[in-house]
Amino acid sequence: MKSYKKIPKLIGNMEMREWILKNRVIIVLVFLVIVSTIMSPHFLTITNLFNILRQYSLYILMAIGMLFVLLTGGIDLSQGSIVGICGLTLAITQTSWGWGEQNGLGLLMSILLCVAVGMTFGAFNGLLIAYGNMLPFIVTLATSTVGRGICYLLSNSRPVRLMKTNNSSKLLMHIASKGDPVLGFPYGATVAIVFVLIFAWILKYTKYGRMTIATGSNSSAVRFAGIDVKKYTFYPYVLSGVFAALAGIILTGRTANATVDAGTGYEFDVIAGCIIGGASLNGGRGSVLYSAIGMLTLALITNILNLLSLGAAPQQIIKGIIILVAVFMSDSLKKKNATE
Amino acid sequence: MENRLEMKGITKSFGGVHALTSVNFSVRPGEIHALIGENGAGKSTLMRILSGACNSDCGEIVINGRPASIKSPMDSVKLGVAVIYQEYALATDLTVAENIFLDNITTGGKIVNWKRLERKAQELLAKLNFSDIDVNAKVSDFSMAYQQVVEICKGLSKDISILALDEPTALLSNKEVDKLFELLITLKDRGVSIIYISHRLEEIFQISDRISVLKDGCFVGTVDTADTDKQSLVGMMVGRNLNDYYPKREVKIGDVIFEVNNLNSGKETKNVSFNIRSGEILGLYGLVGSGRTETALAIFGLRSISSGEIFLEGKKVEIKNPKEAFRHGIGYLSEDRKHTGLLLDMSIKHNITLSAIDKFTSGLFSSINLKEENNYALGEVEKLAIHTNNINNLTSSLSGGNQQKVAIAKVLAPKCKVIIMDEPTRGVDVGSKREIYHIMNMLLERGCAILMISSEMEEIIGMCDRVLVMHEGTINGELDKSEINETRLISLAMEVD
Ligand SMILES: Nc1ncnc2c1ncn2[C@@H]1O[C@H](COP(=O)(O)OP(=O)(O)OP(=O)(O)O)[C@@H](O)[C@H]1O
Ligand SMILES: [Mg+2]
Repeated sequence: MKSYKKIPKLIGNMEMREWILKNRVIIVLVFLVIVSTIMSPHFLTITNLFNILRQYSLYILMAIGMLFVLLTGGIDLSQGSIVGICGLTLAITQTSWGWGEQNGLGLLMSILLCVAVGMTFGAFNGLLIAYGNMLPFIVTLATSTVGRGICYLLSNSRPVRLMKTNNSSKLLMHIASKGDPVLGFPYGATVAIVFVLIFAWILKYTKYGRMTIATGSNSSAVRFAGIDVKKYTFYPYVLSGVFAALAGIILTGRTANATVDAGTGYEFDVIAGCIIGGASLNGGRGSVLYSAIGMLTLALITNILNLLSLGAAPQQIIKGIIILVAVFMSDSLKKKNATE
Repeated sequence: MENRLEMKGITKSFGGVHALTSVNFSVRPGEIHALIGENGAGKSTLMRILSGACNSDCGEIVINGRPASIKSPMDSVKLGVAVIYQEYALATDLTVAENIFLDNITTGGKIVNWKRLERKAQELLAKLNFSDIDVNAKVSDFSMAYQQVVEICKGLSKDISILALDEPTALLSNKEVDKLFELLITLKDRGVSIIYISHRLEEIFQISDRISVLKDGCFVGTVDTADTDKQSLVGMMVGRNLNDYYPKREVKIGDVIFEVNNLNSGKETKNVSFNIRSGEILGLYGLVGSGRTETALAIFGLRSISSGEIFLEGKKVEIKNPKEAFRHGIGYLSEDRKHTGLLLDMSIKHNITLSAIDKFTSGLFSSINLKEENNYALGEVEKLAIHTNNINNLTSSLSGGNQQKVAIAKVLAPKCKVIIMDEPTRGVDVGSKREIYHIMNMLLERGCAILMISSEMEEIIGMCDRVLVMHEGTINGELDKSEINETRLISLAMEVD
């Protein structure tokens, strides 16, 4: 039959466009690195780069969770509050509850409790959205508000400091802010890289990943195909909650301090990172690796603006514009592709 | 001025795919001009270029003797061109009236006059003899066929001189087709030029004045309908002769494997009972709105059942959702490709294996064996003659008929025992139809049973062992192979029997 015939690939224009379209995130990142290197001598130094990684590895973890939610066509605005709650949970169990005095085991207990808290929040979101048919935006906005309220209750509006004298707190602070003894590559970044690789694999090679994308692409068709759509809508919120919990743990460890408003607004940076990485808010499109790179891109931008000692106000404006440009670029490229 | 519309040297390619190569196509005032060709021949693309929904690489459009520059749909509307697409472009959350006047919501005034909007919409529907459609209901509440009617009304809501219809009757049964044809004749008599795309050759002979044929993106020729016959048209389209459109099958019909008893679900399914034997095709015929699709959805667990029983191989089964239906070995091919049949923005490959992904997974994490999946999809593409050069392309890049073939491959993948096929050859060309019938016969040989819903009478007559005819939610009669003929089908469907 003539139907499946290989048409030789066109060289030149067409292939070039497609290549640019596919790798635009990496191209932008490389471009940024070059520009930043030219603009500031402090940029391309090991200290600075490791600093960026240390600060942003927790955002990358959150981005993995957020991406899975975005893939199903949802959104999770409660991540920031979960970061806050889990940070406080960790600090309180380590100090007031005395778990910090028990070496590694105490730390492990705190971490497990935080993960459980994040999971519970995520499951609550997921239940209402998948099984209660409520809108993701509304549900997670509400849980975000509730979550922040809980932060105030937990902390009495006062920050909780981790104590260096506690063995297990010390261990956490070391992991969250230091790197490996040879190169000094931040442990946090290593953790993020491991998770990025695992979840990139899950998305591409497992049934779970495939069905998550399919659900976001057209949920009715997936239901007609005999697949449990509700299940695949539910799990990403749990995942998102767990990653937010991990981020809260790392944040508290790095700053040795848990505050009431820790994590506020992080979810927006994370969403922006995913979108720069090519994820679609309509669901069905996005990659773990590119979301992580998108997150790094945003980190680099913040970093170079800091190095150039620009104030907070212009920084915000520039970041906003860059997000708009990213969305515009991916949209217009996509539309061109669709109509041609 | 002889021609109302001239399209000259139209060329269009998508990446490496040449959809149209230097096509010349012209239409006279007051004629119905049929445009035919195999799946992927470029018919829809030519119409999209006419409407401005996509731009040609080169070529010229002349309307009423003057060169027309059509860059966007707004340009074509101004020139009096209306195109009704194969894949509907309705806003399903809006009402019928709002959809019909979507581009002209103020119906001439400065602000929206809802009363006038409603009245005008009702008038248009009445013209088509579809006064039973509630103009204030949401479009998503209607079946595909009614949506098609709304789509046609939308095209007629403006002053038009050129009307193009891309497979308007693929989901309509005789009665609705007749209504549509009456309307087309009225328009034609008023001097409107009509371009009519269809794979149903009988209709083409019934309605058209002239016929143009496209093949692989090239213009083959234009003939007067009076001077040609089916054989030579097929010859022009396919490049070879096709004789038996409905391949013979020698399958022994076995025991009853599927049985439905007194099924009730809403207004659309009332006391429906039937059974199907292995190796048998049971047809379900009826007019639009007779409850065929709704009954299938109820069986498949997508509509709640108020009473009734379903037996599979003698055992009573409860089906609450499609997942359970598939587990019991019941598959369903949806008539609505765009919304419930396919994932248009996923790849062809991923669509084909969607329902049967478990066949390719293994291990603790249900990891997919990509190589096996790829090979399976390639095999299906080959078997069903899906016209593509890469199975990783998005499904939306396929022509309508080829999308339908992907939908069929998808429902075949889980190897169900009982398959409900709702309009299985919707938008499929004559050659490929035969392939699909052939595949259906192979399924029967394996001992499957097929429930086929179809609006195309020829297909019902050619393929079914028995036919149930539905009317307003009840089964109005059953015909055995020897009794199936046009008059019996029509009279049962209209309840004059
Ligand atoms: N957006 C697109 N991207 C890539 N290829 C496309 C796109 N749209 C159409 N094509 C290709 O152009 C060719 C012509 O498609 P077209 O939809 O015009 O066919 P058709 O004659 O309408 O077929 P059918 O009878 O199946 O509806 C096909 O090979 C199709 O795959
Ligand atoms: Mg078409």
